[in-house]
Amino acid sequence: MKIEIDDIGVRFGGLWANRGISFRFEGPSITAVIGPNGAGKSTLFNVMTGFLTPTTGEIRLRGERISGLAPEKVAGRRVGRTFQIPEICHEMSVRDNVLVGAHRHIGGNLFSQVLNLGASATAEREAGERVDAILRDTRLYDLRDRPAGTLPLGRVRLLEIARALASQPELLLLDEAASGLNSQESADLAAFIRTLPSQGISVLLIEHNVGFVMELASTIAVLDHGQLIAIGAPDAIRNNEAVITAYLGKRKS
Amino acid sequence: MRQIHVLMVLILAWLLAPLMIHTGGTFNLFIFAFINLILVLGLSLLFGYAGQISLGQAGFYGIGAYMAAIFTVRSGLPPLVGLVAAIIVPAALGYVIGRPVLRLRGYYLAMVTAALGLILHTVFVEWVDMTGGYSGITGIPALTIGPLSARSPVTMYYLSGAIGFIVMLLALRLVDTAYGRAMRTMRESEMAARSCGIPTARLKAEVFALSAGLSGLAGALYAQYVGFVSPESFTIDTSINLLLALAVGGVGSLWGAAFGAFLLTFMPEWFHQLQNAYGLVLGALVVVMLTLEPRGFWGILLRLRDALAGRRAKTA
Repeated sequence: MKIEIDDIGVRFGGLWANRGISFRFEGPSITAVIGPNGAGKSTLFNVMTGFLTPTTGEIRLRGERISGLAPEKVAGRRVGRTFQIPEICHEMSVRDNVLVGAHRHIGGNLFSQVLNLGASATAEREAGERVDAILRDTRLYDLRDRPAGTLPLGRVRLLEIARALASQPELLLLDEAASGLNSQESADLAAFIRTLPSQGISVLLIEHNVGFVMELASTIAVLDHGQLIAIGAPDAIRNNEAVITAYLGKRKS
Repeated sequence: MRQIHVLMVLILAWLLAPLMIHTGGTFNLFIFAFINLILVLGLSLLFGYAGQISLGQAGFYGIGAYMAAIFTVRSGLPPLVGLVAAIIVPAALGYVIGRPVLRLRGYYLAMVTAALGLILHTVFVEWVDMTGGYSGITGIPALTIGPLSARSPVTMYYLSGAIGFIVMLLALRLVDTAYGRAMRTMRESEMAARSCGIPTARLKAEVFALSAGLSGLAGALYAQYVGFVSPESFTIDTSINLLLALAVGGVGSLWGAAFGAFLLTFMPEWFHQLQNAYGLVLGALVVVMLTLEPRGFWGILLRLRDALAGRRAKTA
């Protein structure tokens, strides 16, 4: 599967939050977008998931344009995402939160669901089985009946990933998934993310924390001031002059 | 499953209660409690579960009542047709209006739905040919199913109660389906809902239509029991009282909504000696309740449960 980001520009008033960003990657793989605060990473994510319409350019998945579609339509193209500040339903159980991810697959309408008629009942049961498998993979199974609002942040981040996985995405976008986690939690998370490409899932990570992605991603794109300043393998990025300048500031000569 | 047990006990109590009720006034109160139950449950689904506030519920309640009146008194159709129209017409109107209006959030949605209620009230007053204006419509035939006529308090007690319990049961079921989970997620995060492929614009309009349809059903039961409708039953006061009943009972819970509906109905009776000063009691109750426990009566029950569980854990 090929994802093409083609000349993406987003203008807020007089400010270009993204400008002329173009790169492509093929999946299943793990790719990362890094950059300092305010580099335009989240803006790019929001364009990719339909929450923002780009001022210029387009994003294609398997050659089909997904930018400019409503977020729920983008989700229908098998794109899942998490949020930098987790967006979960606090009073609902962990399992119910994950089941929301499977919403598209349960189908039916208000009446068939309330009366638990044939197809809806079957779809609900099948979604439930798939969700239980995901809960085991993410080690949330023992917590499945707890209200989601009572989980610590590390688990909440996993919960968001589990919910996105329940929608059976081909492309999974993780927004600062390791932020706020302790070192053990982020190591566990990295180990889990590493298993996803073998399930046919392409992962795109946004990270402020460079260390986390260096070990994980095969390709890293670097944004600064809304523009792509470098893209390549982790080692090349680590030694890239422009990247070092962007993160550490210009050396006085 | 425990919810089902509670419901079964309540149904048994409802079936047997007439053995102890000797006055028509008490039956009256229960009938109005069941009508209010349907109204507050509709608001609970819309506001408590889907997160969309409405201060215009009385408008849909009114449409239901007028449908029941107009289809029978003016068109001569059977009461059951009026009842069905009283559900469908407000639901359809709710969907059509809801689609554009529900893009608004919070205070703005509150103001716009209040304005909507105002417009509908004005229509009830001014469209004299259809609604009879301030004099209203009299002689609305009672809902009749076979030999049962709902004009007698006992029959209507059972009929409105049966409908109330069915609505409660379906609502309890609804919030546990994929549809209900989508509603609850949307309330806390529209972004999360949309990223899961939930079309929130349509979902909001559908829930608005559902709650308008339930309000309409309540309106028909009211009209067909009282036999008379006039605009003063469908003012913004009614909409606000429904919201207060929900708040006192518990915004996030259908059981809380049910409790609030019964309280809304019975309290004026308990305090009838206060006459106009009754507003003080209701107002004070809302202020004290929401300050102490924003989750309302339901929140107090949850706290009691947690306290008991805590004590049990300590002694064990």
